[in-house]
Amino acid sequence: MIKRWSLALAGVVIAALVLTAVTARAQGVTRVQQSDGSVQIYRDVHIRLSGETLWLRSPDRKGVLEIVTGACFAGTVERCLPITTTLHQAGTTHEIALEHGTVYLNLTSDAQHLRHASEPLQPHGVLILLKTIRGTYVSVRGTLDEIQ
Amino acid sequence: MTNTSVKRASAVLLLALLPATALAGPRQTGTPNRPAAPPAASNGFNLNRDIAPSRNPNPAPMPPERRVLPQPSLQVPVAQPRPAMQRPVAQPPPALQRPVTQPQPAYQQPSGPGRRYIPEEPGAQQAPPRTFVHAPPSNGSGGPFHGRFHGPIVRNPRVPYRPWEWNRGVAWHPAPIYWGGGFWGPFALATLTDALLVGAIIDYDNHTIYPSYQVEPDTPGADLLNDYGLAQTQCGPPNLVVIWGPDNSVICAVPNDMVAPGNYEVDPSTFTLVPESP
Repeated sequence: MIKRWSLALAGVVIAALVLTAVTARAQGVTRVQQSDGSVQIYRDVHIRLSGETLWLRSPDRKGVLEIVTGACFAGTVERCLPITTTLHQAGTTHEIALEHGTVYLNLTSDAQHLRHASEPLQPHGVLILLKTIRGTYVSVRGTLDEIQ
Repeated sequence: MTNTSVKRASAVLLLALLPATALAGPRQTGTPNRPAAPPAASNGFNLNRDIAPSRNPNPAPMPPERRVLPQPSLQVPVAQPRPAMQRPVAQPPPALQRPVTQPQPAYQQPSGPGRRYIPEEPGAQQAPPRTFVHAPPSNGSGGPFHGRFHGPIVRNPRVPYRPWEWNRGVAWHPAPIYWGGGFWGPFALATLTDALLVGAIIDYDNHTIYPSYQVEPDTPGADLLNDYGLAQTQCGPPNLVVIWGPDNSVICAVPNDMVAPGNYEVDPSTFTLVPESP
C-alpha cells in the first residue's frame, strides 16, 4: 500500500517538475492580429534582452523576432520605442516595417504599475505593443528569460 | 510493482501534463466570417503578410529619413526664426494664400547672420508658400540655428548636472522613425497628422518648415518642461521660449522667471537648455 502511494506521489512530483520546466523557462505570450482580424496566439515565447534589443523566440524555436529599440526613458518602468523589427525564420531574414510601437520593461524586482494600465507589470516583466505598416498588431506580455 | 500502481502513476502523469501541452504552441482564433491568415511558413511566427511583397499598386512607404511630414495647416500661426533677436515673428493668416510665384517684398529684408527674413511689419501675417518643405527629421538639431547654441547654460533645477543622471545613468538615443527621436512622445513620423500640430517655425531663408506637435505626458520632453516650470504653447507668436530638441524637432513654451524668451537647444545628456549665442 505504502509502495503504491509512494509511486503515485513520485508521479505527481515528476509531472510537476516537467510542468514547471516547461512554463518557467519561457512564459511570454505573443499575440499577432492580422489586418484581416484573424489572431494567432503563441505561448511560451522565450524573451531575451541584449542591450536595447529584444529577441523573441517562438515556442517551436523556428522563428525569432528581433526588436531593436531606442529612446529608452528610464523610470521605474523603462519605456523604449521600437526602431526596427526583424523576423528570422526558415533560414531567411525579413525586416518588418513598423508604423509605431512601445516597449515597456520592468527591470526591477517588484511589480510596477503602468500608466493607464489595470494590471501591474510583474518583476522583470515585458510588455510590447507594435503596429506594422501592413496593419498587423503584435503584442507581447511576459517576463525576461535572459538579460545580457 | 503492480499493474494497478503503474496505471495510477501514468494517469496522474498524463493528467498533470495535459495543461502543459495545451499551453504550448500557437493557437489561432478569429471570427468565422473573416478569412484566416495565411499559413505560417514552416511555423514560427506568422507575419507572412508583413514579409510578403506588397500587392498594393501604390509604392511602398519611404524610409523614415525621406518621409514627407504633413504640411501644417495654413490656419496655424507660424513663426520665422530670427537668429539675431531670438524671437519668432508671427506670420500671416490663411486667407492670404498667394500664388507661389508672386513676389514677396515683405520678406526681402535681411535680419542679420544667416540671411533670414522677417516681415517689415511686425504684426503682418502670411502663410508660408506651399513650396516650402519640411525639415528632414533626422538631420541634427537646432534647425536654422544649428551650431549657434553657445550661450550660458540654464541649469535644470531638478536634475544634477551629470551626464544622463536624469535617465538613471542610461544614455538616451533618439529613435529615428519618431518625431524628435521620441523625446517628446511616441509620434511615429508615418502617423503624424495636422490634428497634432501645435504651430510651426518657418525658415523663410531656406524655405523650410519645422512643425511642432503636442508634447506627450510621461516623456523626457514633458519632464524637461516640468523641470523648468514651462508650459507648452503654440509656436507662432513672438517672445516665446523656442526649444529645439533632437532631430530638428521644436516646441514652444511660455517664458517664465527661469527661462527668458529666445531660442534654446536641449542638451540631452545633461537635460539642460542651452541658449543661442547672443
